[in-house]
Amino acid sequence: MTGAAVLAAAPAAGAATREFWVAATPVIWNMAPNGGDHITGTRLDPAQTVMPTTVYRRYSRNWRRPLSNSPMSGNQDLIPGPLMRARVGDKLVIHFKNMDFRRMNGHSMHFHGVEYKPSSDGAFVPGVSGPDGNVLPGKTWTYRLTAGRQSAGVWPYHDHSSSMHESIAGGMYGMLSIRGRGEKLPDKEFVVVFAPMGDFQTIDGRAFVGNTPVFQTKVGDLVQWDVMAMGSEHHTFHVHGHRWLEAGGISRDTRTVGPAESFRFRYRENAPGVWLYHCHVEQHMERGMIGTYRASRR
Amino acid sequence: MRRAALLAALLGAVAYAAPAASQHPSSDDASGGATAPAGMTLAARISFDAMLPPRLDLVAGESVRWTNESVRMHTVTAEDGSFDSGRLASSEAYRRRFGTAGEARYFCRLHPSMRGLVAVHDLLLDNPGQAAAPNRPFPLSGRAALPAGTPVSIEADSGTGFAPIASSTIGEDGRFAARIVPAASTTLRAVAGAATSSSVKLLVLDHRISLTARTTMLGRVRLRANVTPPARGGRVVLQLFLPERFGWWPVRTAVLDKRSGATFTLRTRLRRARVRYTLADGATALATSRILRIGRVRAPARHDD
Repeated sequence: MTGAAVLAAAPAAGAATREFWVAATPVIWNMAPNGGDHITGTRLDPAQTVMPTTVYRRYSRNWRRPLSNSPMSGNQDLIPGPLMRARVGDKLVIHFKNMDFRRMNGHSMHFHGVEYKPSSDGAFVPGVSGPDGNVLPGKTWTYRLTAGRQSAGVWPYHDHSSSMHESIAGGMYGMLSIRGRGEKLPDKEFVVVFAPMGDFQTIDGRAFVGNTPVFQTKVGDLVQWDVMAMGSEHHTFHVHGHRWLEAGGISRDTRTVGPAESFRFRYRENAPGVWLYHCHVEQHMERGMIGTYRASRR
Repeated sequence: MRRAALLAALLGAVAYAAPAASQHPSSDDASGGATAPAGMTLAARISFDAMLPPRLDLVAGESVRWTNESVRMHTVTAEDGSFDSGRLASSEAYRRRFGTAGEARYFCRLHPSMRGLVAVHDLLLDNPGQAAAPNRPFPLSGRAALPAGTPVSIEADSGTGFAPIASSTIGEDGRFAARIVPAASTTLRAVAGAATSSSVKLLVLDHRISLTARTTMLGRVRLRANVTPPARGGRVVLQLFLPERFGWWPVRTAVLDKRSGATFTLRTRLRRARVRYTLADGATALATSRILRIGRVRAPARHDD
């Protein structure tokens, strides 16, 4: 093998194939499990906050056993769907099963930011798309993705089947987190998805302080936030007491995301305390898009 | 309101399926009165030797889809000859829409002891799937083949005749929902325009939960909750008081076993714990246990009322 060929092959040498097993699963979802809005002291009626819906759930191989969706994020819940981590150059093989035997809807997974063939697009177009675009209840499909050179970053995935609008409103979305080559894993990775749900504005399907994820770090941790929006509105992510650097060395503590847009940022934790993070669109904050973040001393 | 209706329907005994997502070969028979709007499809099963469930209640305009889940052939044949599925092989299905109110008795031509009934209503109050607790909110739901916006009155009879106790309105999807706060067991019905639903019984029971805790040799805490009077199949939720959640937070859910009890095993820091017996939403409480302090390492849990 010539030296040139070795060099050409080099980017794939450390590449991995990462397999995920995911199912669309019916659940009864409570947007406010603690029963209220802690800041205003308002109590919420379960009739307002509880609804049957369908979510993406991570499973062990061959869907034998349900697993936690985002064990690294401090958020153990079912919305958003599994945080799928990979590195540039990796292959992602995502085995999807539709177990929505309650509504009997078709579902799919459509991924942003990565490379794939049309049979892994997961979008329903009658007369055009194949079974990937509308996986019927009881059926499975395997999506084959490549994290290409332009894939570094965080990206949404969501249902794009015949039931996509109802399914996205019910929480069928999640994130891919793709590290660039040479980028180390963060100590903590927090997933924030802004989306409306029922009468509320939610973060990861939950509304109001105490119900939304309580993210936890220690001073010295390398912290990564993955932020995205779903739905039809723009949101303005803001975290208290911290800043991050963007391209060109610009310091920020607030950034806007529109539907299916996403961004990530990192910093080294240096500010112990209990902090707020929220959408700074005030009507959204008032309807639940706010949470707490706890940084402890070592 | 729509979400409340959806949830209430879920909590009831009715299984339903959207007509669009058929995965088995299916034959559709869309005869019957054509006036009612296209409604939802209820799923029914044909087992080896029975029609399940044997009775189906639906509102005019809705459909039933029978799937043969057994290894032998069956038919779905009306006693009056008004419909016949033909022979259905294993996993084949037959769907029929029922356009007008009335009763349709049917059987399997190949195994005539297999019989069923479809009762078609203009107004239907869903059967409460569970007993209510006294003076606690309880959701009711129903469906109607009546125009959206029609007012619905929920009436209760506790021995002195029916009287209105709640009101609702029929939604765009033909559903309605209401919340009542019953004091004692009662009979309920819905009235809308000229239509009156069949009555349903709502049992109201004063449930109590006993809760005990012990620490296992591995340092885990084992909690045992028992609900009386027995409520096998009911839902219980273990809650911990979490300062970072500013209140009680559900950490585990269980279904009551045949002894009307449930066991939770967990490892936790020192926390206050309680168990709630709830509606199937896991959130509307019917009864709450005493509070125990759990999670102390290498010492039996102190019972803390």
